[in-house]
Amino acid sequence: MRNGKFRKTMAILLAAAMAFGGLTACGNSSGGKKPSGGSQAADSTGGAADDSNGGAQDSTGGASAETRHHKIGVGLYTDSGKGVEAVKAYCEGISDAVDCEFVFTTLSTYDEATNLSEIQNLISSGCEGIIMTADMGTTSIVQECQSAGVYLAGFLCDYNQSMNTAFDETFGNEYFLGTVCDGMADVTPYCEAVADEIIAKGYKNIGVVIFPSYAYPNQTAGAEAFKAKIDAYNATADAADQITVADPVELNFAPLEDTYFSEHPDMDCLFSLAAGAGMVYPVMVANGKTDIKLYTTGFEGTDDTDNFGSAGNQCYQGTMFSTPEAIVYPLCLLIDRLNGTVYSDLPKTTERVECSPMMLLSDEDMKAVVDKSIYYTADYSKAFLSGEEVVQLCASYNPDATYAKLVETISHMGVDDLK
Amino acid sequence: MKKLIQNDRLRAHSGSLLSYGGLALCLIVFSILSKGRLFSAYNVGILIQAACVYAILAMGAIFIYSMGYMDISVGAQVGVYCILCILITNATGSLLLGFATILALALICGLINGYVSVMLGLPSIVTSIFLNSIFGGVQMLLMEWVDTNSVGIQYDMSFLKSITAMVTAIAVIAVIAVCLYNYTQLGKYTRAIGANEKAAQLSGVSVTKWKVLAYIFFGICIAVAALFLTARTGSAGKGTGTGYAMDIMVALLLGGMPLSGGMRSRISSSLIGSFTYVILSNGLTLSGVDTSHVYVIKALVFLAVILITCRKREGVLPR
Repeated sequence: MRNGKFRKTMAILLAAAMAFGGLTACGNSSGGKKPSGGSQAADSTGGAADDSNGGAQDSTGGASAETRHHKIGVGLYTDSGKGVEAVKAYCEGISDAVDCEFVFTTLSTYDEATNLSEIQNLISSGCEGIIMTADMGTTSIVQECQSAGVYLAGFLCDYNQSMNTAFDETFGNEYFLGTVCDGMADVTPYCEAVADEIIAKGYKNIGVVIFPSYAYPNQTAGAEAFKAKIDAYNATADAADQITVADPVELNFAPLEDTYFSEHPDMDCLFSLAAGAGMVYPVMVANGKTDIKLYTTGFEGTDDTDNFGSAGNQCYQGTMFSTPEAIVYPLCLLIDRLNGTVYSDLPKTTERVECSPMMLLSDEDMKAVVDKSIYYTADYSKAFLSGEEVVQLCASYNPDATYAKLVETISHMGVDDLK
Repeated sequence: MKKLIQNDRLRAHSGSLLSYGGLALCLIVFSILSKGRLFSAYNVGILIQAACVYAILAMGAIFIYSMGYMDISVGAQVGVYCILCILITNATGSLLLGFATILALALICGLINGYVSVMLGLPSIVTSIFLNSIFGGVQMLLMEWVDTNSVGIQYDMSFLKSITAMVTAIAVIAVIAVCLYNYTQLGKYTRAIGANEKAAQLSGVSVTKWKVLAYIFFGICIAVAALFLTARTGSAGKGTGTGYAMDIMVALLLGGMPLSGGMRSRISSSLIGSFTYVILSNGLTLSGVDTSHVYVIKALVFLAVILITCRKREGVLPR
């Protein structure tokens, strides 16, 4: 009897806690929103300008456009980390000025059904536009968006899978507005830059790690470009200066095998296109191999910052990632389409565009990112673009706005633009 | 006297009534928090879509859980069946052939799961671990073979994607499952095995036979679920099916299923649990809950539902 009472009491308490948690979260999600309308644009301008004191300042002298309120769903490929914090901070920072409410959810990079359910939930919650960072189940998601009258666009994702196997169903669908890649669709320039660094620093035995080619064909192409660059150097170098590059090892979405280092005892440098911070560096630490220099992609802002260049154990020597402000590409396309406007120079075929990547190859590069980027600090005032500037990029709020200008804007978000 | 009978009836059915508590709680709380969006036509449609695969799998899995066993290979099996169904259908243009193939495979796996474990004297979970590894490897090999991250079906499966088709499928499987579970020896003996396998065996019950039959029915459900999952997403890849084993277990627990099976097992747990599980995820998004709070709230709800649906006086969890 006492047990029964205890259970019922606990159940009531837990249910109350759940309801309270849910209500609190509800309050947070809608907190601070201003009503839509013409006067609201001026309010939001002021609000955002108050928040900004650095990079993200109103360069337009105050946006006077009448904005329309929209609810945008953002599906991110992961639920934590600096990248996620930065995207959320940026969206929150610009939300008043662009008059958009952002709702976030977490997608899967390998399960179509999860993604479809998450997108359906966003649509059901009233989102008029969706921004997705994962290309998994895209065909059915685009169909779902079309039937619900919701527009979809990509961010931090090259949509390689859809582009190569289902172009008509995705890029050919009027409800899919395009995507901006995670930096460059072609990683060859970064791979060649790393090759130049390795040649300049005199490393001799290089390992290469990639994800499977069926999943990331661009990494295979990048590894080949890297090898070609080294081979070109070897063709003219003295025998003593020759560089040996091991055959690329494919990581099946699992950490690098410990035996890799015993198989390559002379290795002095490792180039991992496959998420080195998560898949490779911990294995190096576990095997006491942090004397090997690591060039990789992605940025965690933890060990990779502490041990980059001349800092810490100096293991990390290079990395590449892209900045959250690139979300303005899908956002502007969505806002315009929801407002019934399109750019006068909008291409007829839906595009996949690139944004300038953050290529970090020196202490100076890292310092710039740590001190001045929203990615590292989650500080909206350090963003490349303010909310008002985003408004000015939308054709529906600025008749002079062009698609070319939008694409050009996201191509100036690299490390050099921070300095 | 009459009152006593009514009280006895009420007591006898209190477990069944309480098992609806979790679902009712979710419906009430989320309908308020979502400002009525939970019951919008669109949302009801997507709830059915999302719950369809879980419900079909759970209705098959209940026969296994009733015996006090569990099958962790279900996710990997679903993944491989989806890929195979797509590849065979794309190659032959016949969805029927694709489905027939995965159905045959599912039956063979059910046979292996049930029979081999008895023959070798292994716990069923061991054979399911073995099958899980095999299917996980096959899934990876298939994706490497097709040299892509995700393979799409070229057959129009929109008729299976419709809400009508999914509701019909759930209803048909539910009717079959209820009949088998409540009105045939299969249901009676699987529960008896879960209550006390040794006693069932000494009473003349052929444990091997009923175990194999239970796994075969589960296999059929897996094949049907894979077909509807393929219809829903139109594609499959290396991660398709991941997490289903755990999801099904959680769904059944949410529905009030005792983990150790036995005579208190009820077929309704599968449907109640599947819908509760789906409504939970859907409701949290509709309520505007931040993604960082979702896991904590899900855990709280899970615990609350378990406490509400708990039927044993001497313990908290339904064991």
